Formats: sequence, C-alpha cells, structure tokens
Amino acid sequence: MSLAEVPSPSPSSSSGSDDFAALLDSELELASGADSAFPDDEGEDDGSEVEVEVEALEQNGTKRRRVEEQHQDQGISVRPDKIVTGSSKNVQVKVCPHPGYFNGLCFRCGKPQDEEDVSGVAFGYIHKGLRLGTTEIDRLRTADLKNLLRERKLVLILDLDHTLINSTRIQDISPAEHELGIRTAATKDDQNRSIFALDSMHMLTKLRPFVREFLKEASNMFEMYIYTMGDKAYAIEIAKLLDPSNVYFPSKVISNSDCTQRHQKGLDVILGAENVAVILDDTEYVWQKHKENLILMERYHYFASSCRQFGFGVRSLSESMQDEREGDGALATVLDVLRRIHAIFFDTAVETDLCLRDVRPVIKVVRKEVLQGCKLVFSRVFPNTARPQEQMMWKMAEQLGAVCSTDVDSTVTHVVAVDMGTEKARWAVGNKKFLVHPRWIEAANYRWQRQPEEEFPLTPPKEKIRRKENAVAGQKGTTIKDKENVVAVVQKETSKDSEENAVPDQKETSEDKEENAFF
Amino acid sequence: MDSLSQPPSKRPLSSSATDFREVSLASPPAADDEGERSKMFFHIVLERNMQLHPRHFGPHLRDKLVSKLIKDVEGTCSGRHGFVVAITGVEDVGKGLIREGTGYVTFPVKYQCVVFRPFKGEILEAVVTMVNKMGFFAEAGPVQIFVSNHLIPDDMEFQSGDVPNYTTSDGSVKIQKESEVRLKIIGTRVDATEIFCIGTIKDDFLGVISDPGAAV
Ligand SMILES: [Zn+2]
Repeated sequence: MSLAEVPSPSPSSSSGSDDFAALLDSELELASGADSAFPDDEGEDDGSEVEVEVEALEQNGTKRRRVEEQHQDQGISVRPDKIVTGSSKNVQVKVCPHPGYFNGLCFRCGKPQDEEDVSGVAFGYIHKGLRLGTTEIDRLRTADLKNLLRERKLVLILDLDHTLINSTRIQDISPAEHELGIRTAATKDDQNRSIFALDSMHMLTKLRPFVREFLKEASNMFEMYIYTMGDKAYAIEIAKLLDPSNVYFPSKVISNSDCTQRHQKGLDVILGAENVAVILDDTEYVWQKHKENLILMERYHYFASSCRQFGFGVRSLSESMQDEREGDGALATVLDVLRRIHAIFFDTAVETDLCLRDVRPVIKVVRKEVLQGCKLVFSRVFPNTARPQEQMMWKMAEQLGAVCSTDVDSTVTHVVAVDMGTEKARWAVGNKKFLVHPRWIEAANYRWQRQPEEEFPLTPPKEKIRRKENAVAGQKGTTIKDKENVVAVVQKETSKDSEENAVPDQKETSEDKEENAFF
Repeated sequence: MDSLSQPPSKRPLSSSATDFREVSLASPPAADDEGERSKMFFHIVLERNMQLHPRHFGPHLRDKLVSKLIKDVEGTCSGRHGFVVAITGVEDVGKGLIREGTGYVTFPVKYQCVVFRPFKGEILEAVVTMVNKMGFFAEAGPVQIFVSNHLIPDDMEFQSGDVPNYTTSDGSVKIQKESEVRLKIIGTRVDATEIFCIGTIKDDFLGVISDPGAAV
C-alpha cells in the first residue's frame, strides 16, 4: 500500500480557521467520509476481529501459549519431529534438552528460553543471537572432528596484531614515518601493497611479509580462525584485508566481545576440538589454559608506535624502510613448522585411530627437533645460588631438544656464556666447541630452527658498545639480524615482567596501554 | 502506546486459525485440514500518540500527521503485533493536547495497517543467508530464521568447502547460500525491530524450492 492511497483531505475546506477544534472536526469529518475509500477486502468487522487477535496476544500471552502447546502436544496444529511421541490419546512429551538458542528461542523445539537459564556460550561471531549449551558444543565438535580429519585438516587459530599484521593509529605516526610518506603508501592503488589505511578507524595496517602465501598454504592443512583481543569492527576490517574473498575465515573471526573470560583467549568459543588445535600468537599470557597448543610468535613490530609501546628505542622497520624477509621471515618459518606438525599428525605409519590422536604432543616433538643433538653447558649464565635445572633458559633448551649439563666433557657441543673469560668459555675455544650467547637459544625458540652459531658470538666489553650503537642506528644487511635479536631479547623480558607482575592493578595498566596503542 | 478501542468479540485460537473462525478456548478444533495454510499478513487497527510541531498546524495538518505516521511506523516492528508493512488508512484523529511550554501538540491517531507476523505452525518461504555446521540461517523480509541441523532431515549432510551446503546422500537436493527454502515455523519472537523464528524442514513438502547451484 502506498502513500498515494491514503486519502488526504482537501486543504482548502478547513482553511481560514485557527480554532483547533474546528480544524480537527473538519479533518475528522473528512476522514470518516474517506474511510470507505480504504481498500478493505475483508468486510466490515475485519478490524474488530483482528483487534481481538492482537489483544489476545497482548494480554493473554501466557494463556495463548499454553493453548498452542496443547495443540502441539496432541499433534494437531503443529507436528514437530520426534519431540512428540506416544499415542494420540496418551500423550507423552519427551523433554527437549534445549541444546541452544537463537535470539532466545530454543533451536530444537522453538520454545522461548527460560529467563533464569543463562548457561552455555554465546557464539555471536557465527551469528548474532546464537548461544550453545555445552552438550551441543561437544556434539558439534565431535561431528566436526570427523569431517576435518576426513579432509586431513587440523584447526589453526591465528592472532592478528604482531602475528599477522602490525597496526598504528594515524595520530601516532612518527615524524620520520610522515616524511617517508607512509600514508601515501597506504592509499596507493597497488595490488601488491602490504600497507593499508583503515579510514573509518583512523589507522594504518601493515601486513607481515609472506602473510598471503602463508594463509594460502596453511588453508590446505587447517581450518583457520582469527582470534584477536581487538574489537569486532577492527577484526572484521582486517579479515577483509587478509581474506578479500571470504574463503579462509567465513564465520570464523573471533574478537574481544566473544571472549568468555576477561583478558583471556579460550578454545571454548571454537567449535574445533582441543586435540587438533594449533595456536599462533605472540602473547602467551592470554592462553593460560592452552599453552600446549600454542606456538609463540616473534612479535612483528613495523610501525614506530609499536616499537615505542614495547619499549624499544631503536628505529622502527618503517622508519628505516626495511621489513622482515619474505623467504625466511617469521611466517615462512612457522609455515614449515606447521607442515611438519601436520605431517607427523597424519603419519600413515602410526596405527592410532585419527580421532584419538593429539596435536599437542606432536608440537612438543617438533619443538624437540630444533636443537636435537646439541649438548649444552652453561657458564655463569645463571646466578650461583639458583638450581640450573629450574632456570628458564635451561628448560627452554631442553624443550628444544638439547641436552643440558653442568659439567664439560667430550660430548658437549656448545658452551653458553656471556663472558669470554670464564673457564668453560676458554675450554670451548680450546676444544673447538661452539661458544654462543644465550640469545642463540632464544632465537632458536622463536624461529623453531637452529640458528648459525657464528651469528651469536660473545662480545668483549669494548665491542659490545659499538654493536649497540649500530643497532640503534639500524642499518641494512647483517646488522638487521642483530637488531632483531636485540628486539627479541628485550621483548622477552618485557613480557616476562608483565606476566610475573600479574597483580590486578598492573594488569589493568598494561591492558590500557595495549588498548591505547591499538596493539 | 498502541491500544484497541473495541471489545473483543471473537477469540482466534492460534495462528493456524488464520481466518479467525470462532472457536472456544475449551475445545480446540480437531485436526485442521487447513492447518498449514498460512496467513501472516493481518489488517489491524493500532493507535499511536503523535507529537506535532506547531508550525504544521493549518490546513495540511492531517497530511502532516499521515506522512509522519508513515515515516515513523512503516518498516518497524510494533511490539508483538509484528512488522508494519504499510499504513492503509487513518481511522480517527483524537483531540490534540497542547504540551505546556513547548507548543507541541499530541494527537492520538488511530490507524489501519497491514502487519506481517509469522506464527508457529505456519509455512514460510525464505532465502538462505548462511550455511554452517550448526544449520542454516535464512531471511524472509524482516524475519530472520534459523534452521538448526536438529531440524534438517537426517539424510542431508553438511559439506564444508568454499560453498558450504547440506546435501542429500544421492546429491539430488542441496541447500546453500541463496537457496530458496520452504520451512515450517516452530517458534517466533518479535523484537522492537526484528522478528526471529526457529524453522524446520524435517517434514513433508519442506525444503529447497530453488537451488542456485543447479541453475549455473
Ligand atoms: Zn528445546
């Protein structure tokens, strides 16, 4: 029905009067006269009938519902499958377990959700208003697992900031970045550009080198999810950049609004089983419950604001017009690790039923391959009073597959030290063993690869200063590697600090800091 | 705000009693041959208090009221009545009440309109908007419907991939995005702006009407 069909009274008839009553009277007179002009194919008392309908709904909702249920139970007006069983006379109603809800309606029986029933988990990232009970989640996971394994796929959960991308607020762009025309680069019409302006959010985003190839390759081995502590609008914008045709992450973009626990990420909102889930994230802290599924990523800092936020005084990649390398950067490296994990998991020589296999021990096995065959001795790396076996570096080396020892012997391959003057350091030099800085272990830990030992030499005090200067200046070539190492170490320390000081107040501040800097 | 002026004279029982036959609450009708014949559009009378700025007072007052009414009401969900599709007429404009200070006048307006309101047991045709392992979502005008995989026939299995779908084992029937499906409503909820339904296709004559994949 269009506006044109609504009769409008002739304006002139009542003009000239500023008396309201008279005006309205005339209007209403016209209106009642026009009533018959309304299309009304239902007859005269249609109106009143419908009013009853409405009233019944309004005032008699409960009663009405009860009547409808009665209908349903007897299988008269509605015939729901399976829910209603029994003979027509002796009605027996099997209670629906209400597996989940869609905007407050049980999606199995259609009944409204009991207001006191707030169990289950919201799955707003799949569809607004969707909520699943734990039994249903388990059921879906089991069904999903079979499908996945049939396709020879595992589940991969990807963090965004510092893992796949780096973002900055436009207002935080440094003068040097401005001068280099970073904003122009972000709006250039170039298919291969990796820096983008998110205009609506006043942000710039830089894709990590190799990310497109990474996603393409990983999608053959994994069902992938994005899982970010950023907000929903941001996550969706980034997903559009990473996956313009929406093939990798359909209904699989999880943001802070989906988290069930504040400041924590959990696999509870993922309809994939824990035993097939691999997580890539640069922050360990948020995955308290799922550390075994996690592959910790080296943080990607491209923008100056990102470096500042994490406390590096060095010139950022953007400011020095450099970037991680495509071929052997963090994403290329981790892709190899994922391939290895996938291959071991689906190893046909293993007899265990696929459904019973677990990716977590596989991750451990692959990690143990990194420093396999290395036997390390630490020299004055730990405080004298501490038990070396309990030191983080010792444990890390063991997780990477190295054997750690407190005494030197002929089977030792590496001496780890910070000072060239120790007895064990001199022993290493005399016996042609590798003498490396502890950063060598950390680098291997981040890159899942044994690093060339010569790149981690011990530096005499004088040289140390010079190298530091180099790093600050930030040049090309090999020194970049050094810089990255510095970054890795500093990073480590910062994140460790924040984890240890997990008192509520400080946590808040670090959260705030993250939010301010948009991660 | 909506109110009804006339006392109820007849008591329709459920949505399937679509033509409002007189039935008593105590004895619901026996199996209804027409039970699945749907009527989701209703012609009803509603009332609304409308405020009008004094500058509109004059010969075009009624026009103003009507156009404002259309703007305010059409396309919205009116409480439990459903989605107001169109205003078909204004029955009555009551006496205006001048609000102190502002000069605005509030008119109670009684109007006729067509509302769309699906009910339990009715059949609806909808377009699929999303398919996933939990089931599929569909839309019919202002109505959002979810058909969970509990209510999809057991012989239809979920297939993931670029175009996720539910397909029968022989491949003859496929539900994917953009498919048109005929479904039966088993639950409804009307919000301020949206109508939500739970649907089922686990019954005779329900399921795909058109398959976008087949056309290609
Ligand atoms: Zn239920």
